[in-house]
Amino acid sequence: MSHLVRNRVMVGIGSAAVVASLIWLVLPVAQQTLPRNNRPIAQPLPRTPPKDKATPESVPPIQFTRVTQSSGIDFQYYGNPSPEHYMTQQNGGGVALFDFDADGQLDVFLVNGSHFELPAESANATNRLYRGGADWQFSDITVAADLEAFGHGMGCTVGDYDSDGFPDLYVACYGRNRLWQNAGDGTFEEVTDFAGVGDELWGTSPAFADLDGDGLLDLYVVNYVHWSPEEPPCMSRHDPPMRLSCSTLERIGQSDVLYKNLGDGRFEEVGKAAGIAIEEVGKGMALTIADLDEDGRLDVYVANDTTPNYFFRNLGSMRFEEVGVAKGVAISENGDVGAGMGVACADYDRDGHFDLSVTNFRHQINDVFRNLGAAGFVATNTELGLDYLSTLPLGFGIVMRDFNLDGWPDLFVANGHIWDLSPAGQGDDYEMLPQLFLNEHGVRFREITDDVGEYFRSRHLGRAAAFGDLDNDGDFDLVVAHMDEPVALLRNDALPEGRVLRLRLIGTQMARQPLGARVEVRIGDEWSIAHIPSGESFQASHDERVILAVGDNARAATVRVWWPGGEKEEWKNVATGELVYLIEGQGRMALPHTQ
Amino acid sequence: MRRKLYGLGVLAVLLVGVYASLDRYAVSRELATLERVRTLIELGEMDAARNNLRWLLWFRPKHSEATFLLGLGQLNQKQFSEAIASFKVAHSNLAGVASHPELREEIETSLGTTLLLEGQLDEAEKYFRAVLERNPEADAVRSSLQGMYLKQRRAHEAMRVLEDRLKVFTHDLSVLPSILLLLSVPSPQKTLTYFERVDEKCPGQSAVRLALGRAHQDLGQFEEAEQYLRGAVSSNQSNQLAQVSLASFLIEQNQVAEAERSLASLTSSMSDGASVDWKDQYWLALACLAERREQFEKAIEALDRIVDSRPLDPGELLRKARLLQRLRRVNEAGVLHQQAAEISQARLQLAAASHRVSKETPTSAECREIAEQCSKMRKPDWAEGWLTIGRNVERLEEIVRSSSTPPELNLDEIFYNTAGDQ
Repeated sequence: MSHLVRNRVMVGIGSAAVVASLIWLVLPVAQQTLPRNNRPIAQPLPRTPPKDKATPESVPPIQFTRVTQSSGIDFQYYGNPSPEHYMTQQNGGGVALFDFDADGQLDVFLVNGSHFELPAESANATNRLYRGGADWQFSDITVAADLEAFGHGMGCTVGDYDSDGFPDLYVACYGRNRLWQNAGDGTFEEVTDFAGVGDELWGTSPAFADLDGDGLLDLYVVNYVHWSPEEPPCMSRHDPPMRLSCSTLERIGQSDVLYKNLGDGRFEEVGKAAGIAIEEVGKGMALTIADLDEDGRLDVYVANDTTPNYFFRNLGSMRFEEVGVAKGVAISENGDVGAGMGVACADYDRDGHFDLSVTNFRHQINDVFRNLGAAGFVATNTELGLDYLSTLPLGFGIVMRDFNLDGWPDLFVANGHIWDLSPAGQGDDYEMLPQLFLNEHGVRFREITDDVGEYFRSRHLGRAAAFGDLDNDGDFDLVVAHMDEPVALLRNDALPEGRVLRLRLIGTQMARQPLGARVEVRIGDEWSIAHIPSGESFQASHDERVILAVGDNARAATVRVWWPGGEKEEWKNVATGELVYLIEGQGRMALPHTQ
Repeated sequence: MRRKLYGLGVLAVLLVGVYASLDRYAVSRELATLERVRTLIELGEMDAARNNLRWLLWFRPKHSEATFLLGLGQLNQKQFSEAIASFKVAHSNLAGVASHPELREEIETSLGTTLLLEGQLDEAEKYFRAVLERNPEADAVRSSLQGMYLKQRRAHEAMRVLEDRLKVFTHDLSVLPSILLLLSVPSPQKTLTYFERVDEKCPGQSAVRLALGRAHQDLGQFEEAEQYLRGAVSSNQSNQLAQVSLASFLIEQNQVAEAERSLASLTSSMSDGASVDWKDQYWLALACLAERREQFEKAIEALDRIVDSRPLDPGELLRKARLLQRLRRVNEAGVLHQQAAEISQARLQLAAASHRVSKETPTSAECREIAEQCSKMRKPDWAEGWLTIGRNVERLEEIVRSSSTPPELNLDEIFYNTAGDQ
């Protein structure tokens, strides 16, 4: 069986290699490199003025269909709460969507957990890699890919750190984190020791990005809290008391770590020198890396649990300054220090600036921070209608992407409590409904959870959530990990209003995989922005391709790319509809639509 | 001999008569004294009350009601320990006496309440339960018991007491504040059902509809919320709190034109110095409305009315910061962001420290840490309270260090008395 799988993988690799070599032969078309200091700022779209009951006349339908059962993905997370309710049993495992074999089809990697009494090895509860095929068919190739691994896994991230064209894989754990190098032949090799990235603190969400602009992907790992299974159990204050996983409130946070890529397969931990390991230690859960202050350098935003969120402004040369409070993104709109679980990043109001959204605990609002540019961020939960709707659930994974392709990023939230308080009879739900909010032209988010598919009408213990175009039909599908049920593959069945622009960026001077890069797209007089996701959501890694709705009649667009830490580059007449590769300094190439 | 016997009989009758008269006089004087003492206590004239009681207690040291009134006076003078001692004496004097059920209830209720104030919650519960056993309709006692459970975060027990109260609930809305309190415990859906039951028993009450509207709003059930809030206004046009609440809701729902009309009708009541209880809500609604209209200066003007009176509310500081940011007054906004973050973190650390010490005996260092957080929150009285606890704990720590058998520490009472309601 594994032999057959390996053959299939090798065939895929072969075709991918041919395609990849073709890309590099293509001549540049209408490319233009812009001087670094002549920074082009996207012209903001006129924001729809506030109006009474702002609801567009026709709402494009959003429909998600759960296709897990027929897909071949049967992954069930192993580290569910045991009677001991260890703290490690509350976050679930991560999800990564990436094309590991360069066959044009997204593959799915899922991180597994463990138990202290019954370790994952005893149940063969390994992390798993599923190779994507046509028609939502996936095959488990974990063994063939040499990716069998056991432990208290948490989040994961994907990045081509060695710039060989094949994305590599990093898994954060309670315990030692692990790095697997993609050999390009359908297998992975663990290189944690050689690379020097085996941090042993409690890692939650890691992310690759070129933070010092040297053309190499560095690695940021968000760490959580100090805790040991030997510690006394934590009890609730109910009568009778219940054993629960310990509250973060009483734990001491762990500093995040930052690994600088040295370019020879090794990394150096530079957190302290870079200003990441700061005195006010956070209890990190998630992050996003993007150029949030529009100075051409990638910044790091970290959602912390019961400590203020970090905004690490990139000062250049791998130095950072924490400015969360000054930027207005450290605490919630109502002054609460939130439980920071997940982070989303997108320009929800299409004003040319990346906004942020953070999921928090039950009885706390989820945050939406609107980016005003030089004036910092302002919380807009209430004016968007998102305050009350987010206080009852406990949110983890969060995705802000344009699901119905109307040009406005919508909002998905995976919910689920960390404690089963039902025996206390207080009406606290353990499993919770996920939520989907339709973006009404940046003025309002309207909850449409009831109308978007069966999955959204049932309760789950939602955790990590990743987005990607799994069927290459030009929209974002979702993969949601749960604690107590198999992972959900949610096929986006929305009918797009018009055409879409689909891009994949490839760096040459800068990082080959330009994670965090800002992309500006102009159709007529209207600009939209997007970015290559780095981090985002909770313990997840996403499709690196950009998908942007461009309307009915747009056959071509002007595209500007801000290569992280490098030059800006502009392409004219980029075709819409099909996937287009934009190669730094070399132009573009359209590939046939891979089904 | 007969004459002698006759004389003795007359004397006996005379003596009995004198005794009966004296006794009657004494009883009537005693009753009058007790009545007077109650009045004096109500008037706050404690010295006079104590003087009146002195002779009575000298004459009848085991007089239950007199002892009870003495305790009541002590309670009024915040001499809690002395009051508890007096109430307990009064209570024990009633032991084995079947009569005086009202006095017994009065003593037990007062004793329970004083013990509650002293943080002796378990003992307070015992006396409250005793009252309720004999008189299940003693709503004031249920209310105290419920408040005590809420204070102890024993939400489901508080719920049970509330359910009992609702069983005997007849016509008034005295349970409404309790339900509102319960909204703060994590069971909004269940809480809503209580409001609905109140609404069934008192249909059309504006206050109940308002409460229902707010509960639905908290649950994100906006259609129901709007229906009830409108109902609250229509059932009592002079319920201005309902009008402000509806206006706030409409602003949140982006129905700004109607909200503006609704607020305009209230403006005349908002003259300078007006002391209406919905003042803050009105100014906040006005600020939100102006913000929606992107009239940021006007919004700041309205918001300043609240910020001035609530300088420690980080939510309002942040709201003002956001308005300043929209006006590109970034430096001013930055100062407010910093203040809000400091207050929020102090609050959080205070919560963490309180949570920690509520589960186990704190160290003196932890008490000092909490006191520091209280000071940062500009709560000097709380800080002083925690410093006092810290000093007590320090003394206990010294005892522990020098003793082979550490004493049993129960610091609940000092926490509840001196640390404020956190």
